[in-house]
Amino acid sequence: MRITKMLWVLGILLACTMLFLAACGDDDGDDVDPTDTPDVTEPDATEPPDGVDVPGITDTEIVLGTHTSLTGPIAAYSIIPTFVGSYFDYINETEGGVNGRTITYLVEDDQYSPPLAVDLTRKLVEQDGIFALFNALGTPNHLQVIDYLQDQGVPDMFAATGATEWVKDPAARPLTFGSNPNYTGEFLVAGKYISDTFPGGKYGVILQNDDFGADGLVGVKLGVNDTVELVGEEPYEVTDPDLNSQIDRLRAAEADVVVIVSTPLLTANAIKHARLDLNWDVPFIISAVSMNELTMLIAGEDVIEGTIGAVATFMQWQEDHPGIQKHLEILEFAGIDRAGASVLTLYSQYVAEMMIETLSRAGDNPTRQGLIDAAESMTDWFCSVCLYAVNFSASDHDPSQTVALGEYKGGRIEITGPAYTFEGIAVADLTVDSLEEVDLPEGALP
Amino acid sequence: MSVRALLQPRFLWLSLLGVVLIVFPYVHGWPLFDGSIRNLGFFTLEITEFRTFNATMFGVWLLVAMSMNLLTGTSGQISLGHAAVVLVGAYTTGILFDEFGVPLALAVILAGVFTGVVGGLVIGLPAARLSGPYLAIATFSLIITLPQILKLNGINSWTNGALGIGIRPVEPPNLVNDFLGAVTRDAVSLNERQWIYYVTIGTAVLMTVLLWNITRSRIGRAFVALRDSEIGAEQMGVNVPLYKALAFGISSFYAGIGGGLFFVVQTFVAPESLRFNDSILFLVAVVIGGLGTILGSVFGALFLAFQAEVISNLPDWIPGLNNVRDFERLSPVIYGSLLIATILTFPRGLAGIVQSLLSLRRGGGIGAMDLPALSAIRGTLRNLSASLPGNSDADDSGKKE
Repeated sequence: MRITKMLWVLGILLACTMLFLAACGDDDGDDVDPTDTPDVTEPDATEPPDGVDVPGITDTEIVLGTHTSLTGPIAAYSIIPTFVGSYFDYINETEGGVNGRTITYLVEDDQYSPPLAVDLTRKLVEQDGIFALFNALGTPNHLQVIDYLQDQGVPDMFAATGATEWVKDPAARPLTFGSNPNYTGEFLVAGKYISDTFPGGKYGVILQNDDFGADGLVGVKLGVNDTVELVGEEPYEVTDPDLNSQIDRLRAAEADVVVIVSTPLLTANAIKHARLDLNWDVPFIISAVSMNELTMLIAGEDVIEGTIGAVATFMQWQEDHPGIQKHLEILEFAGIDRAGASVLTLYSQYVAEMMIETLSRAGDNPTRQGLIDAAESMTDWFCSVCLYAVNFSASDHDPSQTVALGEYKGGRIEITGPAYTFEGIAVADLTVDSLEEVDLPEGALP
Repeated sequence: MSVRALLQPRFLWLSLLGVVLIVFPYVHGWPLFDGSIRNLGFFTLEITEFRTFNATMFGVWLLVAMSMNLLTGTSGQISLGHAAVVLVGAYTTGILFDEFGVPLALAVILAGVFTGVVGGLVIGLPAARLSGPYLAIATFSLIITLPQILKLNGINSWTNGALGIGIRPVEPPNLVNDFLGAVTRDAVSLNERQWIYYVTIGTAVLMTVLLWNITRSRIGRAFVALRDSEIGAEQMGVNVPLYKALAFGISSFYAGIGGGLFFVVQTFVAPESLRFNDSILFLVAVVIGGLGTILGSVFGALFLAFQAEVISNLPDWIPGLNNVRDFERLSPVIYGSLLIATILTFPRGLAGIVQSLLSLRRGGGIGAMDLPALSAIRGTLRNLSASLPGNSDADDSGKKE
């Protein structure tokens, strides 16, 4: 009896389908995805023909969106989208936006979860109709949407991670641009520093067991170039609560210097464990993603003293610098306390300015391809707080390829140098010989 | 089969649901829903094409929620490692397709069978000796260890390490579009997202019907007996280890199919695609949805599909919470409070509310309505006031009057 009933249901459903499909034939024209229209993705279409809509662009507005972490395990970075939003508000208010259009910045919280990033990115593209994705944060979650963005022809501007995956092959992913120095290049400089400072010594590496850690390890090894002995390669999982056992093993291996490729909380606790629990005063070199005030806050000013890492901008305490003065002005505009200025807010200013510059170069009638061309046209461009110039080209989507070293000193980060550049060298071709030492910009030293 | 049977309300409702599911991917083009009518009071009636993808993910989460609910709600076994099973399903599909060239549809089915067998034997049999918190911890270890296993160098050529496996979006087979074209004189064709929607929703509906039958069969009754009392079930002649393993096996089969479709829909899987917090979220979803019922799984899947968007939009809906910075501070608090409030007010989940309302309509009256929330709150308040020093007397005297 029940089975007969079910068959009836299925039969009727089938009939309904047929009826419906026959009835909705006229709607067929609407089924074409607006983002699939070739006008936008054709390489030559830099100017939209009259009457063709570019998603996210109206006469008065440019809509950008991002997937980022406001909550979840790396919520510490949530200050970045907040400050970027404030920066855009500031530009909208003081300059009326870019080329007469105000910027609307839609921030979606993916909680560092890859499936959520997929949901929210598709929502931004298909429902909110964003012009471009800007400063998406988090390597594993961005990895999940990057090819979707290429398929849909949505520019993926200045992703907020240094994974080499974004920038290693611009031909395969022409719509994606990085923002941080790539991790291999960054740690290449760290490796060079180890090789120069600890000749004949031993070093250990603690790394996140994913492509962030793998990229970093490749860089360190290339930079050290076998001049210093690697005594321990200690991977950990993102979900691990601390790095204590990794530190313990490196201590037992008698490392002279320890490299930590990790995020702020774990980095800070690892340094605390070594210096406070083990009383082990080993020098640390940490990742640029942890080289900020948050790590210092968690570890403690005295504990983290002397730790080294890459820096890319002037520091907020260098108040004589015009870029920093502008930064403080925007902080005030956003209603954030001056003490809230940090490496992260400075980074936000850098990416926001880079986006504004790109949009303004894209002209009065921006298209998506026009935006890509505009970004690729940027050479020797300086943001207001950057130490070194940004260079893009069709074969180079990696903006920041000069790395200066900084150090925690007396409760603040100081730019101490040395600085090296690997400008224009593809990730796969990096070796220690790619590095060229450059001078620190004027006024960078305290 | 009489005409009267066809006019039964349940049948009509099911037909209506079926029609909605079938037309859904086309709704975004219809006049009423395309956003042409804006500002209906406080919201805009607009169903965009994105909702098709949203509904597809709902289908995937429905499979996962049913899997979780069968295990926890129906047979009373707790699992904190279910995301691992889903991830294994996704990876099996990916590897079979990518490395061995197995057709995707077959790969998904094989993934389900594989996780079903592995789940039944590797998790289910040891689980027969574990219960409660011990089982929770044992299953929790699955999701903790799996990402590291997937990143092992030895299987890197299959799993592609931390970078994961990606595929192109699935195109509808020519056969389908040719058929549709022939029937409708080229008026209708499916694009890739509509095709994957129908495949996922179709699978989810079939598997729901299957689960409906399983839970009403001898096996289902054995599961319920197992949940209510293991000793009792044994006394009644239920082979406890066998049925425990079976519960894990069937549940893992569902999770494996869900994982396979997860891979097909998202077109990508990496070791970090699902983490231990997703595992816990699955459990939260079925508890909020309603344990032990299919309707509960449906609500659980809705929760999984929409919670992120809702949380992201909270600042727009809650007055005074209008900037991201406030939200960033308060969002976990609001989220947590909502969860606690739901569990306190509706211990049988959202499905429990629906059942209460139905029993009310069937003439049971207010008395028949199950409102544990009110009595629970009343009880809590009484206990609280009684526990305050010097308060108990005043409270009692107040009651007597």
